[in-house]
Order: sequence, then C-alpha cells, then structure tokens
Amino acid sequence: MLFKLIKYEWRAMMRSLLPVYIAALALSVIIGLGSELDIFTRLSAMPGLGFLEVVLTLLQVVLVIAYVVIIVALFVISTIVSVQRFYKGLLRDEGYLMFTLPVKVWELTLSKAIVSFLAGFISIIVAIFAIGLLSAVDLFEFILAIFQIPGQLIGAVNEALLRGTITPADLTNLTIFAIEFILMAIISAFAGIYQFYAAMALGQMSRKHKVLFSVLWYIGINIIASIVFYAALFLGAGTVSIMGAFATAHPMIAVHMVVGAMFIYCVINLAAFILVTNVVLKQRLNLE
Amino acid sequence: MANDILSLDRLTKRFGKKCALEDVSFSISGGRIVGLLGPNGSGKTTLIKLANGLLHPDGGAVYIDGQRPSEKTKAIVSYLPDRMYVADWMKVSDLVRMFADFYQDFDKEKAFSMLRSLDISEADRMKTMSKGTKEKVQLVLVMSREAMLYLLDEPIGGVDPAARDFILRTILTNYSPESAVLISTHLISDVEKVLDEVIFLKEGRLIRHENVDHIREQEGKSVDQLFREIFAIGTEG
Repeated sequence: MLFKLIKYEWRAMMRSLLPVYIAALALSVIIGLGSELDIFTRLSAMPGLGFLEVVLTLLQVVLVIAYVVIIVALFVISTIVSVQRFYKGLLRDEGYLMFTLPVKVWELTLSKAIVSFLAGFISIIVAIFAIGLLSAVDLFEFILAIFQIPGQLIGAVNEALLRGTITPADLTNLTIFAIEFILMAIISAFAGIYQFYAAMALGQMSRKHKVLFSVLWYIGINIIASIVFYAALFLGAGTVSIMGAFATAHPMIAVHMVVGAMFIYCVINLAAFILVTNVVLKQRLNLE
Repeated sequence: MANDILSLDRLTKRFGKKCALEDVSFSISGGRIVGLLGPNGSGKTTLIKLANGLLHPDGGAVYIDGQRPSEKTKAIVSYLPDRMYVADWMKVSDLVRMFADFYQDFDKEKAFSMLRSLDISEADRMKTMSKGTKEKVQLVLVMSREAMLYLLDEPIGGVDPAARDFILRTILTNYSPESAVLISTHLISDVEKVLDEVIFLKEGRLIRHENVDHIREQEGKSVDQLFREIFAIGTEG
C-alpha cells in the first residue's frame, strides 16, 4: 500500500512542482542567453576597455542576483508545496478520503515524506542545472563535467595516495566522514519534513485557528529541540569521562565523536517527530 | 449481536462546551437500510465521522463488525462524506483506478457502467463538473464497492429528483443481505420508501430507533409525518 500511496502522492506533487522546475530552467536559459547576447552587442558597439569592464561587472552582479532568486524560489516553493500537500491532502477535505483508505497512518505520512524528500532532491538537481544554464555554459559540456566529477575525485585521491600526501588511514576516515555526512543530510532532511508534519498534526487538534496553532507548535517544537540540544551539549561537556576521552583521543577520533553525537541528535529528532505525527493522527485525528 | 455490523456503545462527542453526541447506543445488523434522521446540527455527520475514525469519541465506543475503527474496518466500510473529498484535478477515470487500487472490493465494471447510465464521461476532470455531477461521481465510487457497511452522509442533498431516484435505486440494488446501509438525511420523503429502520437524532441524543413497518402499522404514520411531529419547531418532541 505504501508504494501505491507514493505513486499518487508523486503525481499530485509533480503536478505542482513540474511547472516550477520548467520555469526555473527556462528562466536560466533566457537570462543566460540574454547575458551572452549582451556581451556581444556591447563589445561591438563600445570597444572602450574601461566601459567593458563596467558592463562585465554589472553582468556578474545581475547573474548572481538571478541565480540567487531562482535557487531561493525553487527551495521556497518546494517547501511550501510539501507543507501544503500534507495540510490539504490529509487535514482538509481530501483527508476524508485518505483517512478512510485501508492504510496505516504511518504509511500515509511516510509516503508524503518520501515524495517531499525526492522533490527536495530534484530541486537541488534542477538548481545545479539552472546554474549551468545561467552561466551560459554549453549544456552538454556541463552535463559531461558533472559526470566527470566522481572520476576526477578518484583520480585526485589516487594521485595523493601515490605522492603520500594522504595515508590509506586518512582515506578510510574521509570515506567514513563522507558516509556520515550523507546519512546525516538524509536524516536531517526527513527530520525537517517531519517537524512540519508534527506541528500540523498537533495544530489540527485545536478547534479553531488550526493554521495559527500549527505555526505556534512549529516554533514550540523548535524551542524544545534547541533546549534538548544545549542540555545534551552541556551534559556531555560537563561529564568528565566524555571530556576526558575527547581530550585524549586522536584528533580524527575526536572529530568522529562530534559527528557521531550530532548524528545521534538528528536520529532522536527524527524519531520524536515521526512518533508525534503518527500517534497524534492515529489517536487524535480531528477532521471537524 | 454477532450479526451486528455497526454498533454504538454510549457514544459521546463534545466540541468545546457543546455536546454533539451524548450517550448514543444502537446496533445495525446485516441486510438493513437504516435512515439516520434529524435536523441540521443534530449530530448525524459527527456520528458518521466517528464511525470512520475521522473523529475520536470523548466517551463510549463505535464497533464495526466487532472492531474499533482501524485500517481493517476501513477496508469493509464504504463512506460517502457530506463534501467533495477527491482532488479536483483528477479525471473520473483516475478516481476509478485509484479506488480499484486501494479497495479490494471495488468493482471497476460496475463503476463504469453506472457512470455511463448517468451520462458522465470518464475523461472529464472533477473541477469542470457541476456540483451535482461531482456528487454523482462520488456516489458511483462509493456504491461500486462490495462493502459490508455503507455510511452515506446526505447522499441526495445536492442532486435533482431524477438523479435522486437513480441513487436510491442504486442503493437498493447494490446492497446484499450481508451488508448494511446507514443513510443520513433530512430529505425524508424521498428516502422513506427504501428504509427498513429509522433512527431519530435530536440535539445529539437518540430519541427513537424504530422499524419503518412498525411506524406505519402501529402508528398509522409515514416516517415523514413522524419526523415533522418530533421536530416541529416551537414544540417539544
């Protein structure tokens, strides 16, 4: 059933986001082409070197602003659509259908979270392509360059190993760091999504002003999460055995300890948000 | 009692200080079509939402085939809400496919044949349809299931009299001896002829649960007449 839910959620989500992706890419092409043409016309009309410099600087500023606007718009819109898909799809009229399907509550929320995560991931990919198109780079060259990155990375690492700049132990550590950061990025992304869900699930329990209460719950959850974070930090820093181990550990191990602690914090956050969302929607659903 | 498909045990639901349902108990067994009757605000919709698990009771319990509302009971309950509950960008054919995907008891052929009878094109999108047509599509989806319990909240509220007849015929011909139908409405004269039992709700309380034949034979009244007597404005029931 989870797969079926994902299928329908994906269709609904892409209905909203596909036009945004296409618009972002189209806008990048237009700006990219425009800036390229601009260079040509100004180069031919004004051969003065001083003026050309001004134009190029201006152009760079315009490019940076356009780049920022497109990227921010992409992420803001995909976040808004994710939140809206949960609110409209489960807590408003469409919820009457979704909550009467013979599926479990965790399947409903997980299907939405997975699709939101994928949408966020696609937004990043689209953003990368938008930058490529914006800087008026040849698209094929750009795609080729992206695919060459892993190969180049491996090549660089091999060379460094041969030259002895890094040791095999460093490489192992770097690989572990890479895995830790990728996992942490995924878990934080899901924690971020479920934090919205938990706030909305708690907000829908109120009889009136459900949206307002959802916002207040979101802020409240943030405050609680911060308190837990700092409490854990002070507790950890105040525990002699932990600090002793930290101080005497090899620098690399010490860094792993910090990353590991952050990892655990992310996992606890995610678990708490999932629990709150699913328990509240199962026990306290309130489609008045 | 083993045959009870829907059973309410002292069900109570409050919204703030207002009591929407108070201590309501009754049972419906298989093969019965039951009217849930009462004026606006008497608790009909609240009762049906509680049976679907869309709300949670403050007291008492709802049992469907002996179980509290869960994904298991949802597989055997076919629910028509009092509002549009499908995404308006979907086509009729998308909805038929979606229902077939999620409900094992959904009969696609039956759905398409009912849509044809009602002259509804499966390629139409919900948002292009009139309110009445949308309601018909939802009813087709709900009645194309071979469910054990049908919970229909105001199924004829927004449609024309000809469609009303079609809907009532559909309800009559689709239900089986094993299944039960609970229809909430305030348009009693239209529904009366298909009902086996009636349940009267007033201000959240159950005031009568009767066989329709009994009302006709013993009291010599139609359900509509009885309703008007009980709920006459300005008098006490």
